[in-house]
Amino acid sequence: MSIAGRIAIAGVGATEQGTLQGRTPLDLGIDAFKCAIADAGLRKDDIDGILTMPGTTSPEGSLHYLRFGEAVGINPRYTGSMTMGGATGGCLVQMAAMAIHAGLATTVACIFGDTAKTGGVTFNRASGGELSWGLWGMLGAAANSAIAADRHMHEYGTTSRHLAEVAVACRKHASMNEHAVMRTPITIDEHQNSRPIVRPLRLLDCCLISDGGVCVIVTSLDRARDLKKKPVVIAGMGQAHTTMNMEHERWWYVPHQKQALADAFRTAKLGPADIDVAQLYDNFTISVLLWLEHAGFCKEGEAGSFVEGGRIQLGGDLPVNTAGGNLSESYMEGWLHIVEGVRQVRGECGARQVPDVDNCLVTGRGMSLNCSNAMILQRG
Amino acid sequence: MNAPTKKPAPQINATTQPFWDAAKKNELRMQKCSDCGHIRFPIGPVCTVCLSDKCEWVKLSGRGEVLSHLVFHRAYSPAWKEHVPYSVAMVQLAEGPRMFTDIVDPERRYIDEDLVGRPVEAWFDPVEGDVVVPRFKVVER
Repeated sequence: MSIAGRIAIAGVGATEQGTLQGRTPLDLGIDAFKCAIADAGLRKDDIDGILTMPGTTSPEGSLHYLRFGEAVGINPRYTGSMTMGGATGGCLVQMAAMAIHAGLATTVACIFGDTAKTGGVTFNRASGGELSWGLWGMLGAAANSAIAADRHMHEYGTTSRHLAEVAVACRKHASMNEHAVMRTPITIDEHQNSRPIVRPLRLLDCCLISDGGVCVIVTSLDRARDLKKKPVVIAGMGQAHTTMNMEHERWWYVPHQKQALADAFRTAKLGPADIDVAQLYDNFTISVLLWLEHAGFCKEGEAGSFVEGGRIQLGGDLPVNTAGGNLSESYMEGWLHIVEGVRQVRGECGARQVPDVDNCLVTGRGMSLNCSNAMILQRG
Repeated sequence: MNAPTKKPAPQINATTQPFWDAAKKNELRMQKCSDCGHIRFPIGPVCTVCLSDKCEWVKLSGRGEVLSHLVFHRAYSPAWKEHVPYSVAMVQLAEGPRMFTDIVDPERRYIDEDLVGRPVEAWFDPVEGDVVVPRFKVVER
């Protein structure tokens, strides 16, 4: 029996976001967990699975799941922690779905809490293993996406103004989201005049660095139907990862994302034309262009012109990152993309609600362009 | 001839020792699989194509072409602060492997240029003690 369409998201929760002095990754995760179980109409004791992503500032590292379970007083049937950067949230929700489908748990809480902002985290990691790229100055998350942008510009004629369209759309959406960190609208010219970070990327191509917590509650569709909120069905899912960077012919283009998306569409028996709204992982603006091409919303190399003229803004053909995304809402490493996807499908988004959402695409990507996933969330 | 750059020195271990021993002799060497002939980079314990653990550290020409050119206006490590802005290139080496390298550019001639497609060659930089780091410089037409 296929897993597609049988598992649902029953609750989501998020803390306040931004610069949160005096908070810890653990207490932010716990606050988000309390919000999410309240959203679902569940009690703590209904949760029999805990999957966590350690924050960049979590002292427990890969043992974070133990500390979280202890802190909230749950002895789970199923648990663990995973670190795939911005792909972790989606991968953990998929892992929860698989565990539920396999009968290892009934209701799984997926949790993330971080204090990257007040913790002074700069996301300066270098890849390369024992011969770190850092020896040659190739450091930090921006650099990997700068390679993607530079190659896209050379191969397809994409411009920095195309990247600006993504930043402008996310900021416009954040301006309609009272929980977003950056809410003042920006223009393409303001993007063009923002300071260079790693050419060709400018400051306004880069996501925020934030403190906050997010939790997503996953259960079977049957159980979700008895809970407080309208169930949001995981209609399709997929993942694909590349571990090879320099030995991968087109690593910079993140072609494995195409596989993740193809699996999500295939399992949901849907195609890009069925998607009403998309939450596309935006660590940097270029990532949104790559997702649009890989998902088949436009052809390879054409995403630059696709996003021109406000097409991915609310009111456009395909609204993207309707809460503001990593670029303007908050950098919760893609976890808030899942939350916004759920709220759009439920119809809870007020002024920024896309009308009549049947299907929302949610994607995640992490590490040095390595890990990717996609889910299609559907009205239950 | 460029002067040494005073850029950071590597942590050397048993796995990477042959790479650094070669650099000291102004040679760029990488692992070539003795069974299938694949030249791999980054350095690893087995061939990424056939898993053979037999390899030979072959000398490469040190020639290549810039696939992508970045300019760092921000230092993500204190060691690079005094070098900002600096260029980093993803280089396609003539023999097949790719590597990231900073571009030797003491006069900052290439910061506002686009080096994609330009030929580059290895240049050996004595950073400290007797450690030498291979970097790349632009081959002027």
